[in-house]
Amino acid sequence: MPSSKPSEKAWTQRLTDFLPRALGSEGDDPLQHLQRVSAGETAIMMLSALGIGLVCGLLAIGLNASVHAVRGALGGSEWGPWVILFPAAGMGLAVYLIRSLMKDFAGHGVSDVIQGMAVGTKSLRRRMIASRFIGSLLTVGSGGSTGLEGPIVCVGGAWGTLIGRWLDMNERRKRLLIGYGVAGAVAGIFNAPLTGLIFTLEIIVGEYTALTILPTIIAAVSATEVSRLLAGNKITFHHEIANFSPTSLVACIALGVLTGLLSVVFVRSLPWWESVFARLTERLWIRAATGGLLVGLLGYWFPEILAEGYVTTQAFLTAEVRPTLLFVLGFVLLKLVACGVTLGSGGVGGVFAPSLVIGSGVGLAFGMGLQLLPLEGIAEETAFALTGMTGMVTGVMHGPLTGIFLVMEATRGYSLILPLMLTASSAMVVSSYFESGSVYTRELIARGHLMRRGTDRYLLHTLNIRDILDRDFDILRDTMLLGEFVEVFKHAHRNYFPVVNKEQQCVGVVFLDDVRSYLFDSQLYPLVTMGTIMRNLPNIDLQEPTDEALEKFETSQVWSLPVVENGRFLGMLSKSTLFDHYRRELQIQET
Amino acid sequence: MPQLLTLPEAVKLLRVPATTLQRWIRLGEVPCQMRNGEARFQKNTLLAWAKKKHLFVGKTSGITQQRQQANLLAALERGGVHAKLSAENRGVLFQDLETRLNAHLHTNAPLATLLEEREQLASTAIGQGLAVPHPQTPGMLELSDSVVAIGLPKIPVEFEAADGEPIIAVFVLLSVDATHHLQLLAQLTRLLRNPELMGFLHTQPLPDALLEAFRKSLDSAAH
Repeated sequence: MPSSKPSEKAWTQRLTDFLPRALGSEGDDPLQHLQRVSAGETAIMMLSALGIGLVCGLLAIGLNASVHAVRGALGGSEWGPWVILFPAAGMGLAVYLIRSLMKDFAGHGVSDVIQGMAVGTKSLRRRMIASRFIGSLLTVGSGGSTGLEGPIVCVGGAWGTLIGRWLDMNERRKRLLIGYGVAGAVAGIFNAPLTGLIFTLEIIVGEYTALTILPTIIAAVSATEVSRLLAGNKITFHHEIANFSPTSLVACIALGVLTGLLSVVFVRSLPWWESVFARLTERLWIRAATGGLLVGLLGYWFPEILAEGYVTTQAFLTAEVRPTLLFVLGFVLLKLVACGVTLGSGGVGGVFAPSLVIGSGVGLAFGMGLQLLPLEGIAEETAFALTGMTGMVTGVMHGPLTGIFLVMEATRGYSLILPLMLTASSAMVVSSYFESGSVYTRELIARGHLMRRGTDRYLLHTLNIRDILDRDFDILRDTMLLGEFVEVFKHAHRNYFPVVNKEQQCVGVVFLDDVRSYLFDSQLYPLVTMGTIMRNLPNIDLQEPTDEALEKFETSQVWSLPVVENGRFLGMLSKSTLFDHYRRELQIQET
Repeated sequence: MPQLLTLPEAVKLLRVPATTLQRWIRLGEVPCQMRNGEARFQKNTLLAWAKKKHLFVGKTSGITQQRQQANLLAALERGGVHAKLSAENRGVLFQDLETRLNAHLHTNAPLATLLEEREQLASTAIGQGLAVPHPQTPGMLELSDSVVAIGLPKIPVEFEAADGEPIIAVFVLLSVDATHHLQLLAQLTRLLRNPELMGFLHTQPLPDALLEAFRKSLDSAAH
């Protein structure tokens, strides 16, 4: 629903409908006309995506550069043991600012965006742009062991809806704009346009049409170009790619299984840490500061686990100084803990970077282990560090395409595609054996909030029972006698009659079939009241979800049920009307 | 060993037509195993699948499941005849009925209040000194089957009958549901139109003789 008056926003309406109107030449064949209108809509959405992508690229580069600047100032050795306190201060301050000043909740970003796609763009608010930006800057800048991608995805999504609100777009378009924002953010921060596109389609939107794909491409391209102009065409991970022997390919399947299992451990550890910190104190900023202190202590002895950790990953990939197997294993373990503590205590960040970094460590350790075996022609261990990244990302996000394209683009290495694909698929199958949803969706699934457009649950959710109520009824009182009913029945055109009591509450329904054979027994007229002959049917409450209402039709096996609001009778809902509207809704939403 | 269901069993569980389930099997929509060309379903898997697809597999509450036809004679025999009821007025009569019937049926219901509430709506007197008091809502007494109890007050009771006659016999109707209620009420009023039976009721008969008279009258009506 547009919040402002139509007249004030008339020019934005004209703007967003300009192309569809200009291109859809009236008078043609109606189907051709419609085809042109929708092509015009796609074009106008592509233009909007350009604006969104440019800004998202800027935001992504801005966040990345700021964090690097802060890390550069705080990460040096001149601070001595004081570094222990940095994450505590940063995370405590981040949570305090977000909760008290910005009145936002510190979610983990991507799930908020997915929820916005499902239940409505209202949940993605303008203040999220600032709160997530500053929150992640403080968290990661001070050394919190998490990534910037989750928050920047949320920032991008919120920016997308903001543009949609500004252009006075409808809800469907605003939800599309969320996706464009996400693509821009991911493409900008990784300097990887394909990843931005794939991540958006696979993880966020889950719908493949011209309206979702083409503008997303524009957003990804524009964000990447902005990032390249400002920060240079950097390759995130340098790697000299060796050729993969068939034996190494088989090993990739094993690595996929390993990373799949580890991703399950990682995903499950996050709510566990959350519950640990939830028991600690009610004050959220103290929770975060305590978590920060723990991370700071770990980081004092093992500084590699602090912040995003891409520097360590880069070291693993180039392997100029070969780390020992023990160091790599210790790094993986401590990074898992540090990231769990950071996110569980309420730090603002995502799981993208930790997954990549942990994956590179696991892959490297796996590769080093293989070198100890008497096998011929095994690829060097750094190559497995790369495929490990794909496996971990796939397992955590349940997005094999995202895992494959991210690593391929981040290393500019198409020649690695076969091992990446193998690792991703085996990691995915292992992870989905244990987890029904990704790290982003498992909670939404548990709460029943994951609804994609066009699915049964979403269709039922969008149906408004009040709209399809049948109110054209003769309503009977429970005290009415059969003799009086006979008079009503003479003029009735329905074969069932809702019965209400003194308080207008629906107490049952009288079916003509039940009483038909007694209607002409005049001796019964003064003896039978409606209350004694009605059937007690379950009432559908207007507040309850439509799928529960449908269940009542199934249990009671009747075609029509009374609908009440706060106990008061409103009307009857018939199964046939419901399905009539259900089908129409499906036709509308069908792509 | 997990429970394997056959096609007819799965049809019954999912409550879909067999042809529909066969189509789902062919299209690979439903999880099943093929044994010698026949589909077998693991019960747990099938139930979980149905739950995920929001298919309904639970029991129906039985609203449309018809009970057996109500049998007036059986209901009368269950209810029995309760003679020499205190009868200073309607309230006293109902109180005595409550005590006697609760003892007879092993229930503990506020019968007097329920009957009086119904009487407030409209009198249940049907003329010629008879009345059919009953609670407003069937099924409140949690009886296993419907009951018609005959009550004979010591002296005639004022019931605000349309014909002004005081009541010499009441037929307390305690039905288990609306269908029984209507059936019993219709059978009872039809029976009480029998002039012989009416005459017999006015002779202050003994309980056993009265039940026997009803039995005969119902038998002859059936033939």
